[in-house]
Amino acid sequence: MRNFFRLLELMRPQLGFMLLGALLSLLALLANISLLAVSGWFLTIMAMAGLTGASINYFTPGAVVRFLAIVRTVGRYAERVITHEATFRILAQLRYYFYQKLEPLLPYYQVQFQSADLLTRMQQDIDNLDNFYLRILLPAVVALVSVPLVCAAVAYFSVSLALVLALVLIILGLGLPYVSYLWARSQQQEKLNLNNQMQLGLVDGIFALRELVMYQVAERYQVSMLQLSSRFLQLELALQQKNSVSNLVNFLLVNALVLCSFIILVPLAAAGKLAPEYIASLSLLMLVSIETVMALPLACQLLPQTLASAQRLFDIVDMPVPHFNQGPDGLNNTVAIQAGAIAFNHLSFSYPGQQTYSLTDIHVTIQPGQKVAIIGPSGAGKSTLVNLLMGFWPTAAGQVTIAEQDINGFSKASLRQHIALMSQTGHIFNATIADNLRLANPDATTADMVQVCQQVGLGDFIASLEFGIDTWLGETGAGLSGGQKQRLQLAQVLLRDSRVLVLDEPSKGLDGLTEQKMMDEIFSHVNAKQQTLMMITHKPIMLQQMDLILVMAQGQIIAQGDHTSLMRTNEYYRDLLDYF
Amino acid sequence: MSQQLNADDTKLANRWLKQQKSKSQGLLVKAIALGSLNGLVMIGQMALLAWIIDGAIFKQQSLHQLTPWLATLGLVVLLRAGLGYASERFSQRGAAKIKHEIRQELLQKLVTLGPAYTRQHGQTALAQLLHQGVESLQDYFAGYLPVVAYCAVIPLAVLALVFPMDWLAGLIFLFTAPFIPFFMILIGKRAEAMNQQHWAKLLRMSSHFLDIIQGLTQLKVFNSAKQELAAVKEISDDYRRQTMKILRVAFLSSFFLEFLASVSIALVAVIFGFRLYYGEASYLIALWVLLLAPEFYLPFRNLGTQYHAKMAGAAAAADMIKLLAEPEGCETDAAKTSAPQFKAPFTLSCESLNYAYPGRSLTLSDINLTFEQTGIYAIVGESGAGKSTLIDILLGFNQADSGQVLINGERLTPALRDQWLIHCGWIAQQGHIFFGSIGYNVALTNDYDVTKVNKALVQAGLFDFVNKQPEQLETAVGEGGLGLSGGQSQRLALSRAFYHQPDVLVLDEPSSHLDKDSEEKVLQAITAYAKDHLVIVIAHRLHTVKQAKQILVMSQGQIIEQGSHQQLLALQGNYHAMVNVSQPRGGQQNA
Repeated sequence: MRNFFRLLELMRPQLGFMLLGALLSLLALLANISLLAVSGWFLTIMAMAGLTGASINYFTPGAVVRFLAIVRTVGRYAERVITHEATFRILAQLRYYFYQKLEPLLPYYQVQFQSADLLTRMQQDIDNLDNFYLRILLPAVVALVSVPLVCAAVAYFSVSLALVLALVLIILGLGLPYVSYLWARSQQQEKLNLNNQMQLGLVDGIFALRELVMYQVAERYQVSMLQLSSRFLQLELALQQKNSVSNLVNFLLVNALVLCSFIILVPLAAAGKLAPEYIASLSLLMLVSIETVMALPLACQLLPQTLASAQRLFDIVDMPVPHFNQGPDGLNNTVAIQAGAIAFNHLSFSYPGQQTYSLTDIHVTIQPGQKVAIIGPSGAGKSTLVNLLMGFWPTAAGQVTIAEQDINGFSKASLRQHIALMSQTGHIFNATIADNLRLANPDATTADMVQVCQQVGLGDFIASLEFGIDTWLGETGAGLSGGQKQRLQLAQVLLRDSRVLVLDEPSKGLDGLTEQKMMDEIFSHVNAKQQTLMMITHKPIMLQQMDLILVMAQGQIIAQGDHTSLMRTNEYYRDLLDYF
Repeated sequence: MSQQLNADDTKLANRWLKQQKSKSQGLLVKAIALGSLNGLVMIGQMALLAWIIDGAIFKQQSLHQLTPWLATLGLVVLLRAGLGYASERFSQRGAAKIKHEIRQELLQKLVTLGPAYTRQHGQTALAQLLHQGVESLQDYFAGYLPVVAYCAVIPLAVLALVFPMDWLAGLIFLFTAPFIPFFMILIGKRAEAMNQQHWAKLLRMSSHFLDIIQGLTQLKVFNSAKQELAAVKEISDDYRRQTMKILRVAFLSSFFLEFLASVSIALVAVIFGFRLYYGEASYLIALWVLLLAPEFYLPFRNLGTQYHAKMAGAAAAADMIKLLAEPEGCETDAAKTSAPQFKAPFTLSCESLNYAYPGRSLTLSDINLTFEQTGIYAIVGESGAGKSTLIDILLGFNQADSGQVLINGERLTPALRDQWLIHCGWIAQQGHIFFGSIGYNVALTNDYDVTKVNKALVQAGLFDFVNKQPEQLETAVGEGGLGLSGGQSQRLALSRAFYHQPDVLVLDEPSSHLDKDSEEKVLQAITAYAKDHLVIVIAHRLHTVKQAKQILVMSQGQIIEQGSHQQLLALQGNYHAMVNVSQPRGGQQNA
């Protein structure tokens, strides 16, 4: 419930639209319900007047009927427009809020987030929140207001009918959904499992189709998948049956309500306690009264998962904001960065919330303009080492310094201006190629961008695209292969005007000859700009041109030196050269 | 799967979907028949309701006198409940049956087309199509199709019954009814046109938020995370404006339906009111017509809510049609039975093979080669040189555009593919782990021969590791099971091959560094296997090629050099260059 109110609080700036939407929704609903009832009543009194020859005021009721018809039609339209407007405004509000809250947390908590799969679930969670107003709040508010209103109106004529009506509406709106939820819960869970199994089975089989066909087990695989599909469909049918049963109960209850109205109202009219024309309007009202609670079952169904989504999102944004105040000047990190040696001074590091050290006692100095390669098996801490240079995590044990100043003391912006990082987990945005490049350097001209794309070997590819560097990438645009993404990221960091270039496996997945071309480009770029180069690599190319090679394993630097000396002394290094 | 379809595709998809109806074996027909009957009974129910109200008010009948009628109404309600339930159940069962059969067809087709096809067309997308794609047809068959039928049946039945009773009431319905399809088509067209225009833009905006969150670190690296904050708001607002523009039009179609339903109720009430006042109509008929008015428009309103089901169904169907229409070579049963039995040892040769992927330049051109009986044959070359394509053609997964593959002099045709594959084994670059036990992963069946599996594991150097696990061969691996390192998966794939003892083993070597221990073992095992079998390796390691009987160097779809390690080095050509790239120890300082 705390999350419920917290969500409401977040939505408060849009309260006006939300209330207006609810009001219109209520109006349209009441007009719809009363239209049939008032029409029935109008027909009856007109017929009565016709029979008795009495003169009546038929203008007012006639006008009311027409008015209700208009309110219902226009109200429904306005309701839809306004409630959707409110939904999108809330969506913008929430997204702004979550971005603002998340911004300081990433990548600081990256490890925790990834292990809990939080970021991939986020899409679903945010989508669930989008539902909150339209499918949960709105139906609930409308039902809360309209059910008492309708019941009160009925009670004016007959209290017992009003009680029956209230009972049936509560059953239909809350009781039945709850019972069917309990009834179907275990099967729902089983359906999720089977669904999961089917997904796994299909992905598994299609990815390994070659193995299946070659070892003659494709037929057996087909049979087992179809059995799984059958089981899934059977279960789905069983669940649908429950749904159908609940529809059936729904239908029966509404019609029982109509029958009930006759049983209550006819004796009442006979006893003279009710004008007979109201029998028509009240029994017709029973028929349509269900509309007051029609959207509640779905709301009940969505509420728990929406609150769970909210909980997950709040858990993320409530994490303590990391502090970086260990710098020499405490709060104001404004020390200007001087060009100079990067030194790791007995540095040990563990990610926040982790017990084990990812780096232990790293001690090495990189002189300006040096070319350094970092090699080692996966999990050795290579990426951690270079990521620390971006100031994402404060360093506690030991120090990293640039020109003998602790990097904790630099402002993040100046640090990231000084050092350009191409990370392995880099992200290409759903935007144009040019947008992605401009992100790295907002001042880059088109000529710069085209030139840098040539440099990284994307020139021909981009020339082949209809819109050139203005082509959209990502889901809704041209897809990039893994290798092309890497090259685009390389183009990004080459565009940045930095003193230090840090590359995390820039040539992963490329074949030898292409890789060689890329390396030549990187080297000539670095030489021309007199940058320091730090490069993580698994590939042996060009290692002999590096000034320094760091061999890492299990968070430590186990050997360092140049190509010739490592060839003599390091076995891991020699093995590495067996690939092409 | 989510792309917008053009008009032709939609038409084709809809036609195909209608054809699939027959797969329900009459269940859908029954569902629609019962549902329509339910609609007819509804007309009777409303008449009965009007009769009771009329009786209570104007004939001043007591509850006792009304009891038989109330009882009848109760029975009619029960009948309608039964009909509604049965109709729903039939449509659900029909949809389930159709989905199952379509899934079966698609799966069969995929197996026939083989891995070359799935790799080219995206494995994840295909799995998605067979899973959620097929499931998304549920609403089309169980929801949309029946409603379409009711749209024709129920309003017509209402008209046919109301007209003889009261022609003026009939006219009100008749007059408003034709507007429904007219407005729906008009507004639907306009909404669709807008939709198509804005589709890509909307999709971009809707995924924008997740995109920037996933790229947040990247934004920080580029010092632009703060600027994005303004963009989040701006883009969300833009998204709202664009979407609302479309929705305002889309809502118009329901506005008109709402309008027609309300107006006809109001018209019936007002017109009949005055006719009753002047004694020109009967109250019974008036009330009946009033009750029928909302029901008359109900099917159309339901159709509006099923519109999405139709769109989703058509989108999924378009992908299914594409897959099912894929040509499969010329496989016939006759060819299968008259197929020759292949016998080991094999001599495998290619004669002037040419192959190009659709819409691309030649991937393989004029390939001639021979693999003889036993030993390791290594294929090397840069990525995209055509190595995998060549292997696909040798195994019969792909057909050359011209030229032929000969197996002991017999031509490999699509019909012979499965015959030929009985003799072949495969180890992928990243050994695939199936979801199941280790034993299953080796034998690919759950009733495996334990001794044989263990022997294969010993050969591949994995036996000790497996034996250390508490459940040994029954240890679960794959998703959610025991995690295997890259080297261990590779060795598991190797034991799979040894278990099946193929005469021809094809192997795509891992291209990056695995643990040294694994690699040594794999290489030793393969070298031993190659003494009596033909082994073809796409090689990435110098060690492997050195042991090969023959090395084929490929570049841009051609075999440019061929020979043993020593012979090729002596050529001082491409191979020599490749080896030197990976062996910088030669002291060439000029690279």
